[in-house]
Amino acid sequence: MTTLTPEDVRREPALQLAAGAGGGWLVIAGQELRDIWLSARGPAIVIGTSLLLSLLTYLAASNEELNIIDQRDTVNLLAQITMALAVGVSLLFTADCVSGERERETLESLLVTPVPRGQVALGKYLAAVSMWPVLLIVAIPYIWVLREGEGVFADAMLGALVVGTLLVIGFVSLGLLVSIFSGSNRLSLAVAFFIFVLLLAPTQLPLGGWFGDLITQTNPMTAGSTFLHRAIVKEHGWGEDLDLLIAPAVWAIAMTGVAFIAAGRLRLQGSFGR
Amino acid sequence: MIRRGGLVALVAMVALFAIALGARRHAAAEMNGAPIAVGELTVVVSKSNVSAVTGDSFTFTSEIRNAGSEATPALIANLAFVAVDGGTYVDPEDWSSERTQAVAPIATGATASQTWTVKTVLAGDVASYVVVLPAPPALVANSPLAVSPAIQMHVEKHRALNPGGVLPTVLIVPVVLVMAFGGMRVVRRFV
Repeated sequence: MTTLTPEDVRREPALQLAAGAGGGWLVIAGQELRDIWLSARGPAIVIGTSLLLSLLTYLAASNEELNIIDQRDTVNLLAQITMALAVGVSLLFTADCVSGERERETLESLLVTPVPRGQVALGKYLAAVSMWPVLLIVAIPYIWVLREGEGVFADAMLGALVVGTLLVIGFVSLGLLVSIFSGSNRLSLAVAFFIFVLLLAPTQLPLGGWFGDLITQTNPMTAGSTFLHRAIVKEHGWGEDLDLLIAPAVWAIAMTGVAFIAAGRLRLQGSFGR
Repeated sequence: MIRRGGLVALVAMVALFAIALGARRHAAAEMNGAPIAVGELTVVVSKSNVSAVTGDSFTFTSEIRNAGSEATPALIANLAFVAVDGGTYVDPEDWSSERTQAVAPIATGATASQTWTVKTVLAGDVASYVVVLPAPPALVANSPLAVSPAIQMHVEKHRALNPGGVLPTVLIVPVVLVMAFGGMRVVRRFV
């Protein structure tokens, strides 16, 4: 939530200077980052994630000792859970960022600042994306301690970094888009979360046949998940499955483009579902 | 004349019938193949009882001896597991990652040895044995199998407090994060 008022902006020479120089997004991003990381929201999510990863790591290590779950499967599981959590949390942050401001009646003051609307959206977007690198860093010690064999750690970290970044960018843009057009915050969160679950669900299904292949290739979540599985568990080289990165990349580029076009037309009233 | 002709015809018919019957039997014999004398193989294992805890590994050897008068065909040795306490779920893949070994033909009077590794996955009483059968194409439906005596395994549950050495990590990371974020809040309050 950005709580800048027009008075704040007028009184703040640095902000006016930044806005005039096209750096208003930096001010917005800084304010949003403070809201996330200096309040209880960001730290609570990070600590909660670390507790979940601790539990999973302990359980997985217990099983590994009994040779039931393969070590690479365990590392893949941790990487995918970290990625899914980052995508979900970042999505919910941006799903709240415009519709929430609108509902809390702080959007009007933000729109009258000398910062262009696209830059307002960019600032909020970057702040929401910040959750991903932090969660990835938190996952490092867990993946490190579970790694076994050559290259597992590097495969997992590099794979998660690439796939996770593409997915987070796409879903953060989706959240922004839904939030811009939603009349209420509840609707925005519900729609964003529903789309997230809809795209996440096929990763848990046994996909086979031409229809399964189609879903695997076109759904960014299943494509990303399959890519990670093949890179970490099957030990495929990166060049073997590059086609699986097409869907996440297209998703990230397309959603970002659409979201920022829509952000330029940011209004006080949402029109989604009306 | 007619009687003699009839007799000749009868003999010819019987001969034809006998030939046809013989051919059918021959075809049947070709289809089933001659039974392989795997029954003349004996299989022994190097252990009879094992007491272990979950997570332990042990190895044993099996020895296949050809007591027959002919060399065996190529053989397949397979390690099998069965729960003997009636309650333990046994998934053989979890207990041994390599459960099948190819055995080259064994000359008469010779032996072949195999080494097996077993990981005791779950607590309970489990028996393990090695079964030997001819490799295709010698494998036929009525070939006898040669089986070793069973190894009786009694596995106790092992409770490890620090499995795989992960305990320090799973405890320290959340604590460090709580201290870091808590420290930030405290510092902000005083600055």
